[in-house]
Amino acid sequence: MPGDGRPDWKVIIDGWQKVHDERVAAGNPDGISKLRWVLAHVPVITPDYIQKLKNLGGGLSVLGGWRWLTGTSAQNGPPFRDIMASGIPAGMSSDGMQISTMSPWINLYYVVTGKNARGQLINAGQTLGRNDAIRLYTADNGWFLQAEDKLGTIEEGKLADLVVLSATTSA
Amino acid sequence: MKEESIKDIYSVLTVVNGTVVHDDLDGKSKAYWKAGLPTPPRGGKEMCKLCDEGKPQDHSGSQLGRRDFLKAATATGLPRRG
Repeated sequence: MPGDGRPDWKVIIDGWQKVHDERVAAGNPDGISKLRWVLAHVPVITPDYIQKLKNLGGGLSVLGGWRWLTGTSAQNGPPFRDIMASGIPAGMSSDGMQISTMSPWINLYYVVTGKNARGQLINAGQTLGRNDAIRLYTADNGWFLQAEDKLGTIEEGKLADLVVLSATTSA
Repeated sequence: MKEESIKDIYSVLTVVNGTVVHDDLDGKSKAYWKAGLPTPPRGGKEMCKLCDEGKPQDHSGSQLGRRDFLKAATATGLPRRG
């Protein structure tokens, strides 16, 4: 955190905005908007900064498993609902196993319920429905690899990556 | 499905770019794992990517399950990667 008290995610996005503006001023009209800069983890972010990053062509790669494992009502997030509502490119992963859990289903459980491993509701108001949660883990991740035309959904012309689950996810 | 059960979902078949990399449709592997036993033989079904690519590997030690491997790694001081 710099001396002005801004949290790291504000410093980063403000920095990208500055670089973008400098590039535009130097005659590059796209600035950094085609480069898909990504902010990861994102336990905290406000709607105005989500919009700011969206305008810069960026995306958010969010996590949930480590909040399920050790999160509290004071250490919660990400604000899944705000992120999804904004329309910014967003995806989800499990992160390193030193601090999280490998199973995507633990992560998705946290997205859907907002509950930690103790069963405490810690992310109230920011949960998503099951289909939206699964989209974060599948269809929406291709954008981060600039491979949305190859990954994430079962469609003709895409790579044949698929999984058969032990149970249906529908309610 | 109840919300609490979401945590218990697992893959019974995984295909990566058209290649089966995990197949437990018969449930045998899960049953063995739940019983704390090494992974069962796969009845001749090859699960090794290198073998699939025509580079046969020696799998004579493959009856050793991951759980046993981790025990062995701990005992011998092998590094465990996170």
